[in-house]
Amino acid sequence: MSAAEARALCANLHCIDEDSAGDQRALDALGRWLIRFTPVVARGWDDNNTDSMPSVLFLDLTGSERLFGGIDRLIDRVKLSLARFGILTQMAVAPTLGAAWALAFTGGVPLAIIDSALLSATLEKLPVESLRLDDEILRNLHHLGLHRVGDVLTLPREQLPARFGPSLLKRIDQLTGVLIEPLSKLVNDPPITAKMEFDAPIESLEDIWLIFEKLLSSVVAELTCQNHGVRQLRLIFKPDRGWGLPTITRTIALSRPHRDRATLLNLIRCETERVDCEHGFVRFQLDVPLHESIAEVQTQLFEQRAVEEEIELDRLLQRLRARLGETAVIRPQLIEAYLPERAWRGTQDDSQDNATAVANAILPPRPLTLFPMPIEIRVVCEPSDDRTGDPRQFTWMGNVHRLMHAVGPERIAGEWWRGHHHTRDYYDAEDEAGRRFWLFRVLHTRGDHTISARWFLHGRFD
Amino acid sequence: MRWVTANHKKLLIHEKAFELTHQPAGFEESITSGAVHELLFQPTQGDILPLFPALAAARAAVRNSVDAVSQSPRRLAWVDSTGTFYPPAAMGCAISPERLCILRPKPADVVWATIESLRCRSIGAVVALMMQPLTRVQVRRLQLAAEMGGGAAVLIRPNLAGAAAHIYAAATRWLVTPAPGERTIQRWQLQLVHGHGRQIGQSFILEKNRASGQTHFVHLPASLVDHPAIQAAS
Repeated sequence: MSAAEARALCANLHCIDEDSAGDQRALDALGRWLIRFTPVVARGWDDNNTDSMPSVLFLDLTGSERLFGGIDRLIDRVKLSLARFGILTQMAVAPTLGAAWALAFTGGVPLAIIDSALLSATLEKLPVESLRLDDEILRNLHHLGLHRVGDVLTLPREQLPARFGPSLLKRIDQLTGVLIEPLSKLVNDPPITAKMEFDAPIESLEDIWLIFEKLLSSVVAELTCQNHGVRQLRLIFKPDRGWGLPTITRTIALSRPHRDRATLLNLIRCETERVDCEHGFVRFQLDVPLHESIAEVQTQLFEQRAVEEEIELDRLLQRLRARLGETAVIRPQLIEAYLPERAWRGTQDDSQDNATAVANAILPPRPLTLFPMPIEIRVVCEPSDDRTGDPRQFTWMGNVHRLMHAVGPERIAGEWWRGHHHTRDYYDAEDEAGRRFWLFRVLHTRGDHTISARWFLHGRFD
Repeated sequence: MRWVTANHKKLLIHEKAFELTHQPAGFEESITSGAVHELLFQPTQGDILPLFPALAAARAAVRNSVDAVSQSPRRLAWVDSTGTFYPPAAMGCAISPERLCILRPKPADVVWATIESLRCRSIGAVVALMMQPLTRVQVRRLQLAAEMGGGAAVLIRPNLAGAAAHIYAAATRWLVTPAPGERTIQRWQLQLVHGHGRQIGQSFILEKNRASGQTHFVHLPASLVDHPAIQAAS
């Protein structure tokens, strides 16, 4: 039913837009809060598609019931605390993940604990919907008159995959505990942050660096405990409220996790150099929004220098990106495309293995300077009936270039599937001073007749 | 890819006959690592930049700096503040894409980016276009950075007149002008403007074969050296 139809039925309907990201955040927050009952809390999905939104929380109660005086008490506590939040939940406790999901899904029955012995008897009575299957398989099962899990279990096992696909057997095994289902644990990472506040604004850049050095040492100490390294640093400068100036936020991204104080400080210096400190700041904050574990580096006997140089290059790229911007430091990657402007792209990927097979292909001569947009120019050509004569002279920026040699044409057809219908005839042309240009002609034809020819300057063989 | 020094045979005979201790070094040998090299262009001739000679110089520097142990060539950083550099052309000149690093700083950051890249030991050569006149401090910093990192800096600078023309800290300076070529051969004339222990005013012809992508290097006889160009440069 659409919102309009619903409004027609109920005039004072209050509509709220779906906010899946917000829902997910809320579910994660609830999951982290539930860590007080058990250390292992995981998110779960209703179907096989793990890209969709998780809708279930799994709590592994193994061992933690003793801390709460029995599993019944633990369940009561969880239920009570969720009710206090005003959250309506369907809960079930079972020896396997699949069974817990199935029991919670079918609901209704006051379900708490199921003994392993009781499990199979209870499961047989459940509807097939509790198997977490796709709609199509469910439809097939109902069509064949298989409405209960018990009905499916009576069928010969080896025939199931051929008839219903592999997922049915997997789900049955997960339900009965033959197949173990892994849990992706929800980790509770408190944000790593450090801040400092002052009564009077700090204006000098050197002082700001000193402050960040202090903040950095506390952040690094925390990271060392976790054996983690920084992947992203966020610097927040808050000016005095009286000035009415906005808070300045700078983000530094690192290509590999780092915990080296000197390196990080250097990056912070590069980033803060451009911050306008005229009115000073009263509050400084250093956040680590992204951090990951550092792999211990094995020292190599013979290739130590190569490894060192690689690390040095990494640091250089980080420094350059911090000051020049993310998009200003790129690695070229060739693309198999005929149009010259589409034959490469810049990647920010620092890994070594982005060399493509195209790199080995023999490339036709290309100019070292390629204009972002071809420039239309006036060209004098050799006389020809169909306007396909070689260029003899052209005018660009007020200068007349008399061409001594013109090599071509190299015909490049437009990528019609992208809307480029024009075929280009490229010429490598040299003027009397030895300057070489890359020109192309686009012919406009109607039937077999050429109506006009337009010329463009696309690059220079500098 | 092969560098051919024409008149090489003649030179050898010449050397034997007169027992010359000093053999004029070619362009490729002149591009030493750990130093700054400048390619000057005439700003009056449109904005034709000597990009290919710069690429040839950088390629020579990178090749000279191959690590003896790991055998892996160092990287080439191209400081492209204009945003018109076309990497597939460099690939055609035997520069592999994973060894190439393109920087696109704002004009004000060009010198800083060049210095930072030069300091890094895994960068074998840095090519940068310096349209603005450099200060004495900047040229000294560039020189020190090149010495520290061990790579070569290939700076493309306009051949300006006046006091700014004498501010440099380069091991070699070359005046590059396009020379009339043939149908499939593009030529540049490179004239040594400054270089320690070398004959000033020496001219070379750099040839690029369009079809094969090969680079040839020709030593020009002294009688054909374009004398007015030297005077204009100095």
